Amino acid sequence: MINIQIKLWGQLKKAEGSANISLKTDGLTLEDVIKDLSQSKNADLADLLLNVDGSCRHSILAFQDDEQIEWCKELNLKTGITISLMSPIAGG
Amino acid sequence: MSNIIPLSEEEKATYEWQMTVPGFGEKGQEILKNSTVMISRCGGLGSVVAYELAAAGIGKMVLAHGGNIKYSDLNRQLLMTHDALGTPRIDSVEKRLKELNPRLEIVKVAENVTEENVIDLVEQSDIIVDSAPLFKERYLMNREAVRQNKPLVECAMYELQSQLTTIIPGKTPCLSCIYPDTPDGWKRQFPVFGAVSGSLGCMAAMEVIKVLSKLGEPLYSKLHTYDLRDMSTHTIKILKNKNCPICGGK
Ligand SMILES: [Zn+2]
Repeated sequence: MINIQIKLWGQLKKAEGSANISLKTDGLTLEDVIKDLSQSKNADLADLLLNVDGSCRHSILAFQDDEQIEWCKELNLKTGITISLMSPIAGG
Repeated sequence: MSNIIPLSEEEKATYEWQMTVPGFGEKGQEILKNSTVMISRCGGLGSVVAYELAAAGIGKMVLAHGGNIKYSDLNRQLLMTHDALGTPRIDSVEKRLKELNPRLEIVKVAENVTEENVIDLVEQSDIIVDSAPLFKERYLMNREAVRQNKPLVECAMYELQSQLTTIIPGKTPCLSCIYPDTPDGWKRQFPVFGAVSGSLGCMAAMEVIKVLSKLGEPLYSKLHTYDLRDMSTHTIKILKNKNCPICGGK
Protein backbone atom coordinates (compact mmCIF):
# COMPACT_ATOMS: atom_id res chain seq x y z
CA MET A 1 0.00 0.00 0.00
CA ILE A 2 1.20 3.48 -0.79
CA ASN A 3 -0.17 6.86 0.14
CA ILE A 4 -1.30 9.13 -2.72
CA GLN A 5 -3.14 12.43 -2.86
CA ILE A 6 -6.47 12.87 -4.62
CA LYS A 7 -7.69 16.29 -5.72
CA LEU A 8 -11.45 16.49 -6.32
CA TRP A 9 -13.12 19.01 -8.63
CA GLY A 10 -16.72 20.08 -9.19
CA GLN A 11 -19.48 18.01 -7.66
CA LEU A 12 -16.93 15.45 -6.39
CA LYS A 13 -15.46 18.04 -4.08
CA LYS A 14 -18.93 19.06 -2.93
CA ALA A 15 -19.88 15.43 -2.22
CA GLU A 16 -16.73 14.78 -0.19
CA GLY A 17 -16.71 18.21 1.50
CA SER A 18 -13.02 18.64 0.80
CA ALA A 19 -10.89 19.12 -2.31
CA ASN A 20 -7.72 17.37 -1.15
CA ILE A 21 -7.69 13.92 0.41
CA SER A 22 -5.17 11.16 1.08
CA LEU A 23 -5.72 7.60 -0.06
CA LYS A 24 -3.92 4.37 0.74
CA THR A 25 -4.02 2.13 -2.30
CA ASP A 26 -2.23 -0.69 -4.05
CA GLY A 27 -4.29 -0.16 -7.23
CA LEU A 28 -2.71 -0.96 -10.56
CA THR A 29 -5.17 0.96 -12.74
CA LEU A 30 -7.39 4.02 -12.45
CA GLU A 31 -10.36 1.68 -11.98
CA ASP A 32 -8.65 0.12 -8.93
CA VAL A 33 -7.81 3.51 -7.42
CA ILE A 34 -11.37 4.81 -7.86
CA LYS A 35 -12.85 1.68 -6.31
CA ASP A 36 -10.48 2.04 -3.32
CA LEU A 37 -11.49 5.69 -3.02
CA SER A 38 -15.20 4.82 -3.18
CA GLN A 39 -14.83 2.30 -0.35
CA SER A 40 -12.85 4.57 1.93
CA LYS A 41 -14.94 7.72 1.60
CA ASN A 42 -18.58 8.72 1.98
CA ALA A 43 -21.54 7.31 0.08
CA ASP A 44 -22.30 10.57 -1.78
CA LEU A 45 -18.85 10.51 -3.34
CA ALA A 46 -19.14 6.82 -4.17
CA ASP A 47 -22.46 7.49 -5.92
CA LEU A 48 -20.73 9.96 -8.25
CA LEU A 49 -17.77 7.67 -8.91
CA LEU A 50 -19.52 4.33 -9.41
CA ASN A 51 -22.47 3.02 -11.40
CA VAL A 52 -25.14 1.04 -9.53
CA ASP A 53 -23.46 -2.20 -10.63
CA GLY A 54 -20.22 -1.09 -8.95
CA SER A 55 -18.35 -0.32 -12.17
CA CYS A 56 -16.59 3.03 -12.56
CA ARG A 57 -18.40 5.93 -14.20
CA HIS A 58 -16.33 6.77 -17.26
CA SER A 59 -17.58 10.35 -17.21
CA ILE A 60 -15.04 11.01 -14.49
CA LEU A 61 -11.99 12.65 -16.04
CA ALA A 62 -8.72 11.78 -14.28
CA PHE A 63 -5.38 13.43 -14.78
CA GLN A 64 -1.89 13.44 -13.38
CA ASP A 65 0.74 16.06 -14.24
CA ASP A 66 -1.69 17.60 -16.76
CA GLU A 67 -2.00 14.35 -18.73
CA GLN A 68 -5.30 12.47 -18.92
CA ILE A 69 -5.15 9.02 -17.32
CA GLU A 70 -6.63 6.22 -19.42
CA TRP A 71 -8.94 3.81 -17.63
CA CYS A 72 -7.23 0.55 -18.44
CA LYS A 73 -3.58 1.57 -18.58
CA GLU A 74 -1.37 0.43 -15.72
CA LEU A 75 -0.46 3.28 -13.38
CA ASN A 76 2.99 3.73 -11.97
CA LEU A 77 1.93 5.07 -8.59
CA LYS A 78 4.51 6.55 -6.28
CA THR A 79 4.04 7.84 -2.75
CA GLY A 80 2.87 11.42 -2.68
CA ILE A 81 1.72 11.79 -6.29
CA THR A 82 -1.56 13.60 -6.93
CA ILE A 83 -4.35 12.28 -9.11
CA SER A 84 -7.05 14.82 -9.96
CA LEU A 85 -10.63 13.71 -10.57
CA MET A 86 -13.09 15.91 -12.42
CA SER A 87 -16.80 15.47 -12.89
CA PRO A 88 -18.70 16.78 -15.92
CA ILE A 89 -19.91 20.34 -15.43
CA ALA A 90 -21.99 22.62 -17.63
CA GLY A 91 -22.98 26.19 -18.47
CA GLY A 92 -25.85 28.26 -17.21
CA MET B 1 -17.72 32.78 -46.12
CA SER B 2 -17.49 32.50 -49.90
CA ASN B 3 -18.12 36.17 -50.70
CA ILE B 4 -16.02 38.21 -48.30
CA ILE B 5 -17.56 41.64 -47.67
CA PRO B 6 -14.77 44.16 -46.98
CA LEU B 7 -14.67 46.37 -43.89
CA SER B 8 -16.38 49.76 -44.02
CA GLU B 9 -14.54 52.88 -42.88
CA GLU B 10 -16.64 52.84 -39.67
CA GLU B 11 -15.55 49.26 -38.98
CA LYS B 12 -11.91 50.09 -39.63
CA ALA B 13 -12.18 52.91 -37.11
CA THR B 14 -14.02 50.71 -34.57
CA TYR B 15 -11.56 47.82 -34.65
CA GLU B 16 -8.28 49.67 -35.17
CA TRP B 17 -6.88 48.62 -31.76
CA GLN B 18 -7.37 44.89 -32.30
CA MET B 19 -6.34 45.03 -35.97
CA THR B 20 -2.84 45.90 -34.77
CA VAL B 21 -2.59 42.54 -32.95
CA PRO B 22 0.23 40.59 -34.68
CA GLY B 23 -1.15 37.72 -36.73
CA PHE B 24 -4.68 39.18 -36.83
CA GLY B 25 -4.77 42.44 -38.82
CA GLU B 26 -7.41 43.66 -41.26
CA LYS B 27 -7.67 40.20 -42.78
CA GLY B 28 -8.61 38.70 -39.39
CA GLN B 29 -11.19 41.43 -38.87
CA GLU B 30 -12.73 40.72 -42.26
CA ILE B 31 -13.03 37.05 -41.34
CA LEU B 32 -14.90 37.94 -38.13
CA LYS B 33 -17.24 40.27 -40.04
CA ASN B 34 -18.08 37.49 -42.49
CA SER B 35 -18.56 34.77 -39.84
CA THR B 36 -21.64 33.40 -38.09
CA VAL B 37 -21.40 32.17 -34.50
CA MET B 38 -24.10 30.11 -32.80
CA ILE B 39 -24.37 30.49 -29.02
CA SER B 40 -26.57 28.37 -26.79
CA ARG B 41 -27.64 29.65 -24.28
CA CYS B 42 -27.02 33.34 -23.54
CA GLY B 43 -26.94 32.88 -19.75
CA GLY B 44 -24.00 33.61 -17.46
CA LEU B 45 -21.48 32.23 -19.93
CA GLY B 46 -23.24 32.82 -23.23
CA SER B 47 -24.09 36.45 -22.39
CA VAL B 48 -20.44 37.30 -22.00
CA VAL B 49 -19.35 35.26 -25.03
CA ALA B 50 -21.94 37.08 -27.14
CA TYR B 51 -21.06 40.51 -25.75
CA GLU B 52 -17.33 40.07 -26.34
CA LEU B 53 -17.92 38.74 -29.85
CA ALA B 54 -20.31 41.60 -30.64
CA ALA B 55 -17.59 43.98 -29.45
CA ALA B 56 -15.00 42.15 -31.57
CA GLY B 57 -17.05 42.60 -34.74
CA ILE B 58 -18.52 39.18 -35.50
CA GLY B 59 -20.95 39.75 -38.37
CA LYS B 60 -23.79 37.41 -37.46
CA MET B 61 -24.93 35.41 -34.45
CA VAL B 62 -27.49 32.64 -34.09
CA LEU B 63 -28.63 32.95 -30.49
CA ALA B 64 -30.85 30.36 -28.78
CA HIS B 65 -32.27 31.04 -25.34
CA GLY B 66 -35.78 30.33 -24.06
CA GLY B 67 -37.74 31.69 -21.10
CA ASN B 68 -38.27 35.01 -19.36
CA ILE B 69 -35.87 36.94 -17.15
CA LYS B 70 -35.97 35.99 -13.44
CA TYR B 71 -34.32 37.56 -10.40
CA SER B 72 -31.96 34.59 -10.17
CA ASP B 73 -30.56 35.35 -13.65
CA LEU B 74 -29.21 38.72 -12.63
CA ASN B 75 -26.11 37.64 -10.67
CA ARG B 76 -24.41 36.49 -13.89
CA GLN B 77 -26.51 36.87 -17.07
CA LEU B 78 -25.07 40.22 -18.02
CA LEU B 79 -27.27 40.81 -21.07
CA MET B 80 -30.38 40.72 -18.85
CA THR B 81 -31.50 43.81 -16.96
CA HIS B 82 -33.60 44.47 -13.88
CA ASP B 83 -36.12 46.59 -15.77
CA ALA B 84 -36.77 43.70 -18.17
CA LEU B 85 -37.71 41.16 -15.45
CA GLY B 86 -40.50 38.90 -16.69
CA THR B 87 -39.87 39.62 -20.38
CA PRO B 88 -38.24 37.20 -22.88
CA ARG B 89 -34.52 36.77 -22.26
CA ILE B 90 -33.74 36.70 -25.97
CA ASP B 91 -35.27 40.18 -26.45
CA SER B 92 -32.99 41.59 -23.78
CA VAL B 93 -30.02 39.81 -25.37
CA GLU B 94 -30.78 41.34 -28.77
CA LYS B 95 -31.32 44.83 -27.33
CA ARG B 96 -28.06 44.87 -25.35
CA LEU B 97 -25.97 43.48 -28.20
CA LYS B 98 -27.42 45.95 -30.70
CA GLU B 99 -26.69 48.84 -28.34
CA LEU B 100 -23.05 47.84 -28.47
CA ASN B 101 -22.88 46.87 -32.15
CA PRO B 102 -25.79 47.98 -34.35
CA ARG B 103 -24.13 46.35 -37.39
CA LEU B 104 -24.48 42.87 -35.84
CA GLU B 105 -27.01 40.61 -37.58
CA ILE B 106 -28.89 38.43 -35.07
CA VAL B 107 -30.94 35.31 -35.70
CA LYS B 108 -33.05 35.34 -32.57
CA VAL B 109 -34.33 31.95 -31.38
CA ALA B 110 -36.67 32.18 -28.38
CA GLU B 111 -36.13 28.57 -27.35
CA ASN B 112 -33.30 26.36 -26.17
CA VAL B 113 -31.58 23.77 -28.35
CA THR B 114 -33.75 20.72 -29.06
CA GLU B 115 -33.70 17.67 -31.29
CA GLU B 116 -36.10 19.57 -33.58
CA ASN B 117 -34.03 22.75 -34.07
CA VAL B 118 -30.40 21.70 -33.61
CA ILE B 119 -29.70 20.67 -37.23
CA ASP B 120 -30.96 23.96 -38.63
CA LEU B 121 -29.18 26.11 -36.02
CA VAL B 122 -25.83 24.42 -36.59
CA GLU B 123 -26.25 24.55 -40.38
CA GLN B 124 -26.55 28.34 -40.22
CA SER B 125 -23.29 28.74 -38.30
CA ASP B 126 -19.54 28.56 -38.91
CA ILE B 127 -18.75 27.77 -35.25
CA ILE B 128 -20.80 26.83 -32.18
CA VAL B 129 -20.38 27.87 -28.56
CA ASP B 130 -21.93 25.47 -26.05
CA SER B 131 -22.74 27.26 -22.84
CA ALA B 132 -25.95 25.36 -22.02
CA PRO B 133 -26.68 24.00 -18.54
CA LEU B 134 -28.35 20.75 -19.55
CA PHE B 135 -26.36 17.79 -20.86
CA LYS B 136 -29.15 16.84 -23.23
CA GLU B 137 -28.60 20.12 -25.10
CA ARG B 138 -24.82 19.83 -24.86
CA TYR B 139 -24.78 16.34 -26.35
CA LEU B 140 -27.14 17.42 -29.15
CA MET B 141 -24.83 20.26 -30.15
CA ASN B 142 -21.80 17.98 -29.96
CA ARG B 143 -23.46 15.34 -32.13
CA GLU B 144 -24.51 17.90 -34.73
CA ALA B 145 -21.19 19.76 -34.75
CA VAL B 146 -19.40 16.45 -35.37
CA ARG B 147 -21.89 15.43 -38.07
CA GLN B 148 -21.64 18.80 -39.86
CA ASN B 149 -17.89 19.09 -39.26
CA LYS B 150 -18.13 22.44 -37.44
CA PRO B 151 -15.85 23.65 -34.62
CA LEU B 152 -17.42 23.65 -31.15
CA VAL B 153 -16.20 25.65 -28.16
CA GLU B 154 -17.23 23.84 -24.97
CA CYS B 155 -17.38 25.86 -21.80
CA ALA B 156 -18.56 24.81 -18.36
CA MET B 157 -18.37 26.03 -14.79
CA TYR B 158 -19.13 25.04 -11.23
CA GLU B 159 -18.67 27.08 -8.06
CA LEU B 160 -15.35 28.90 -8.69
CA GLN B 161 -14.13 26.38 -11.26
CA SER B 162 -14.22 26.22 -15.03
CA GLN B 163 -13.51 23.92 -17.98
CA LEU B 164 -12.87 25.03 -21.56
CA THR B 165 -11.90 23.13 -24.70
CA THR B 166 -12.27 23.56 -28.45
CA ILE B 167 -13.46 20.62 -30.50
CA ILE B 168 -12.51 20.19 -34.14
CA PRO B 169 -14.33 17.14 -35.53
CA GLY B 170 -11.90 14.57 -36.90
CA LYS B 171 -8.98 16.19 -35.12
CA THR B 172 -9.69 16.46 -31.39
CA PRO B 173 -11.73 14.52 -28.82
CA CYS B 174 -15.44 15.43 -28.89
CA LEU B 175 -17.61 16.05 -25.81
CA SER B 176 -18.70 12.41 -25.76
CA CYS B 177 -15.06 11.26 -25.83
CA ILE B 178 -14.39 13.33 -22.71
CA TYR B 179 -17.68 12.63 -20.92
CA PRO B 180 -19.36 9.56 -22.45
CA ASP B 181 -22.37 9.43 -20.12
CA THR B 182 -24.96 11.95 -19.01
CA PRO B 183 -24.16 12.58 -15.36
CA ASP B 184 -26.92 11.39 -13.06
CA GLY B 185 -28.70 13.98 -11.01
CA TRP B 186 -27.28 17.03 -12.80
CA LYS B 187 -29.42 20.06 -11.99
CA ARG B 188 -29.89 23.24 -14.03
CA GLN B 189 -29.12 25.28 -10.92
CA PHE B 190 -25.70 24.99 -9.30
CA PRO B 191 -23.41 27.18 -7.20
CA VAL B 192 -21.57 29.85 -9.24
CA PHE B 193 -20.58 33.52 -9.27
CA GLY B 194 -21.05 35.83 -12.24
CA ALA B 195 -17.35 36.64 -12.13
CA VAL B 196 -16.62 32.96 -12.84
CA SER B 197 -18.95 32.79 -15.85
CA GLY B 198 -17.67 36.20 -16.96
CA SER B 199 -14.00 35.25 -16.92
CA LEU B 200 -14.69 31.96 -18.68
CA GLY B 201 -16.98 33.64 -21.22
CA CYS B 202 -14.15 36.00 -22.20
CA MET B 203 -11.81 33.04 -22.74
CA ALA B 204 -14.43 31.20 -24.80
CA ALA B 205 -14.94 34.30 -26.97
CA MET B 206 -11.18 34.42 -27.51
CA GLU B 207 -11.21 30.78 -28.60
CA VAL B 208 -13.85 31.66 -31.23
CA ILE B 209 -11.74 34.57 -32.51
CA LYS B 210 -8.61 32.38 -32.61
CA VAL B 211 -10.29 29.51 -34.46
CA LEU B 212 -11.95 31.75 -37.05
CA SER B 213 -8.92 33.95 -37.73
CA LYS B 214 -6.34 31.16 -37.29
CA LEU B 215 -4.66 33.15 -34.54
CA GLY B 216 -2.44 31.56 -31.88
CA GLU B 217 -3.09 28.09 -30.50
CA PRO B 218 -6.69 27.23 -29.63
CA LEU B 219 -7.39 24.56 -27.02
CA TYR B 220 -7.31 21.65 -29.46
CA SER B 221 -7.12 18.32 -27.55
CA LYS B 222 -6.55 20.35 -24.40
CA LEU B 223 -8.92 21.06 -21.54
CA HIS B 224 -8.14 24.30 -19.77
CA THR B 225 -9.41 24.40 -16.23
CA TYR B 226 -9.02 26.82 -13.38
CA ASP B 227 -10.16 27.25 -9.81
CA LEU B 228 -10.52 30.90 -8.80
CA ARG B 229 -10.64 29.83 -5.14
CA ASP B 230 -6.86 29.35 -5.16
CA MET B 231 -6.11 30.67 -8.68
CA SER B 232 -4.77 27.28 -9.79
CA THR B 233 -4.85 26.47 -13.51
CA HIS B 234 -4.24 23.33 -15.55
CA THR B 235 -4.15 22.70 -19.28
CA ILE B 236 -4.74 18.97 -19.57
CA LYS B 237 -3.95 16.92 -22.64
CA ILE B 238 -7.16 15.04 -23.41
CA LEU B 239 -7.57 11.87 -25.44
CA LYS B 240 -9.97 10.63 -28.09
CA ASN B 241 -12.04 7.61 -27.15
CA LYS B 242 -11.71 5.06 -29.93
CA ASN B 243 -15.09 3.62 -28.92
CA CYS B 244 -16.85 7.02 -28.97
CA PRO B 245 -20.36 6.53 -30.41
CA ILE B 246 -20.41 10.09 -31.78
CA CYS B 247 -17.05 10.68 -33.44
CA GLY B 248 -15.74 7.11 -33.50
CA GLY B 249 -12.49 8.37 -32.00
CA LYS B 250 -11.47 9.69 -35.45
ZN1 LIG C 1 -15.96 11.50 -29.58
